[in-house]
Amino acid sequence: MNALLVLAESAHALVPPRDEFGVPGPLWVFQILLPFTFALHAVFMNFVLGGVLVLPVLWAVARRRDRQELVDVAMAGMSYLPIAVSFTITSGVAALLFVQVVYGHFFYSANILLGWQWLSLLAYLAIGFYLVYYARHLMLAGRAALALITLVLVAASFLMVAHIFNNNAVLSLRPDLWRAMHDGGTKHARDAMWTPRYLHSIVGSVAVTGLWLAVLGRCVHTLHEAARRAAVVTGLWTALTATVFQVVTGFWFFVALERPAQQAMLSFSIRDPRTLLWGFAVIVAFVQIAVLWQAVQRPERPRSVWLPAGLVGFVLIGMSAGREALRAHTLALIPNALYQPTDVRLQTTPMLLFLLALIVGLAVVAMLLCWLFVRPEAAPPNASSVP
Amino acid sequence: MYYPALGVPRIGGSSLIAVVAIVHVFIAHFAVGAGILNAVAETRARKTGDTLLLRFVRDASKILVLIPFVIGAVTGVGIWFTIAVVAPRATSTLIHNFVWAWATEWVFFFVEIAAGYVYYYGWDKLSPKRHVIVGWIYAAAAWLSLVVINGIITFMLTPGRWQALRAEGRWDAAFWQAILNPTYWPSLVLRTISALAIAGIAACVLVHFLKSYSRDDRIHLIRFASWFMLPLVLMPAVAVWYFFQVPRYPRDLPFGGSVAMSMFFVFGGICSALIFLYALGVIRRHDHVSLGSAFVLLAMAFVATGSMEYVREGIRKPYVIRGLLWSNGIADQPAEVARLNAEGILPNSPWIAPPDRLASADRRIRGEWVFKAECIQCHTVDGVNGIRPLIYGWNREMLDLNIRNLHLLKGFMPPFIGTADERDALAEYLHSLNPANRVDQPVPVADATPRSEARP
Repeated sequence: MNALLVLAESAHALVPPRDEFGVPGPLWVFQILLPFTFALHAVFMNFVLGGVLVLPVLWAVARRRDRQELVDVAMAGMSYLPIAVSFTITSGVAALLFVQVVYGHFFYSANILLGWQWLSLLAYLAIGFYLVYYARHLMLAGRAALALITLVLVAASFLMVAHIFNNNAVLSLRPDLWRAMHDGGTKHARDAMWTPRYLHSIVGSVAVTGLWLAVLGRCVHTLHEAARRAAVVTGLWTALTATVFQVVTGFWFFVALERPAQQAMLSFSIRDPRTLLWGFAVIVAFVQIAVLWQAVQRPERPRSVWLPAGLVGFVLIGMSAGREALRAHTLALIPNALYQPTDVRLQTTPMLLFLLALIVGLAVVAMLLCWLFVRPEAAPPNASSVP
Repeated sequence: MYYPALGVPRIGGSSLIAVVAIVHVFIAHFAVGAGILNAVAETRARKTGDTLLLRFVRDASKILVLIPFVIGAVTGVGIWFTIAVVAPRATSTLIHNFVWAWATEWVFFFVEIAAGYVYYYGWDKLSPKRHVIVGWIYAAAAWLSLVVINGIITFMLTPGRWQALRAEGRWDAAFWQAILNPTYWPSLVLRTISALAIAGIAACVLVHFLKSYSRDDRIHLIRFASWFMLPLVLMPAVAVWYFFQVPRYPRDLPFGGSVAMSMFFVFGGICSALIFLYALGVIRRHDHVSLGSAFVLLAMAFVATGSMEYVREGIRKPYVIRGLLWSNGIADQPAEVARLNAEGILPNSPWIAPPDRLASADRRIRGEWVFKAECIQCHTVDGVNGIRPLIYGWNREMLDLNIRNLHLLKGFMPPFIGTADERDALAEYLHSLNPANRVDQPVPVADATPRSEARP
């Protein structure tokens, strides 16, 4: 019997009931907000995870081969990592909120079953966050060996964070594994999708980091010309290589899904636009390989950076939508587990206030970034990209 | 009940939340106050040409980035993680009622982080006018996030007419009633005053860690920072306003009704008063504050914040959300209470009492399960709020009497919910916790064995 049918038949006794207070907005609003905020989170999170994997290697190899421009690229990338961690956490809060509204009863159960492992995530996050600052300090001080050791610790910390989130994501989808987990097992690790899912997130983060490097090469005018060019070329090659592997891990992830879940994902139904969006994202991922191949041939063209950067943004949204479609279709097999339109207790004015705040807030952030990067008014006496 | 339970050995789940929450509250208040302090200082420095103050603000802005953005962000997420693990039903209730408030607060937080970084990295890249504006955007965003979150925190103690409006199906009105509840405004003023004072004290500490400041420079800067502690003078009046909005029973607790609550309340009050008096002295006498004194002030501010948070959480008991949800995650709703009293708590706790073992389990085991289902959210066995020492020497009759009348004998305890058999099983389990001291017949106090000798 396939696992999803087992899930449907055996798990519902352990799945907590839907919250009696219902959902304070139309379900479709949350179905839009959740993947979009997750995609926003993924933009920063991928740079953090991929950055701590790619940049130390780039830095160490460049130093060994005496390629100063690549050392400068790695240093510039490192200087943005702490900011990216801040934005990863901040943007992650929004996705954390919306997932609790729609899937809280699955999410909390998975959290509690992971228990101390779930809570230890905070320690890994804090350790990684501070060590990033420390590693950069060591790099600037020229203490290469200690800097590398620190960076390995940073990478290990953030890989653990990804590992724990992966455990949570798999457990949230598999209530049929809950009892075994509760009784002391680690069965979730044996779920067929665990490994490809983890690899998919790691390889994807490397691809996104490559594009971040290319964008930095285009935007950070305080870097010297050779370093900017090196950032673009290295970034594009990294993105291209990782995207090819990403397609492979994505295929593995899809094959590892149970057949009903595969069928649901391949429905491409207008009634579930998430599957449509995901389908387009898969096509765009293939297109991205061709675009990146062209870009690495002529990296000096403006579109060589901006086109793949735009495409990866779309792919992230599409993949986030696919993630939610997979979740919804899998959990829908459990009787009465998901919220229905009858559960909606609409809070109109608070919802409108949030949307207004979101628009104004994004406009303010855009204005601030414009002031800092695009139209700075004051001539910097001792400016560097980041102090 | 509906969720698996995470045992937190020795300290218990509620202490775990308290530790994370107090650290976060202190850092978050610092972030709010520091935002305002920085904005005021830079505005003033640029207007008056005070280069020393401007240099200090610039130097201090690094702390603004490192402390709130790292520890604040991690402990903020930490609160989410811990409350969801320790009290999932309460978290779910809050999320399903206030997700739009939290989402709005998230927008302010996002703007705060962006403005904080632009402020820090923009010293050489923005014009003075723009830099001041960014400082005020940061300050406004940080304070607005407090404005929103304050509504949810105060709601849990004083929900006002929220339940009645929900029962009428007026979801919008219920939301606003919940956010703008009776203690909302006084709490907002109290928290703003605390935030300013914490920022002022932090500046006094920080001034010692920044190089190239002479003693006179420090006196000048400390005097400026001390002004932010002076609003503490308003605290007693605002506290009176706050407590007048709190219902009678919880209000009595910090005023002698509970020894622990009263002690923490007095701690908090004394620390706040001392900080105010110190600041007043510094301003009047142009005094220097040594690093040691500044650290003592900071420690007192932490004690004051922690104490008042403890009191706020403590006087809410036996509820997580007053009038709706008890601390153990059972709803104070007639329908749920009647159902659980009829069906029992254990058949509704499949994680704790596996259905296939429920019928065959002996009475003591079932009692332990009841303890896990109803008590473990606040009690450990031997650690913080440990049940074993609390019931030391109680005979079976006393246990029965207490469990039956729990909420009447102790106002901070919820009533026992469940069947008579489950109540009996719980008494059996509790009675078994102190086997060496089982006294099944009442014994005159004078004849009882002294505790220290009798312990196993």
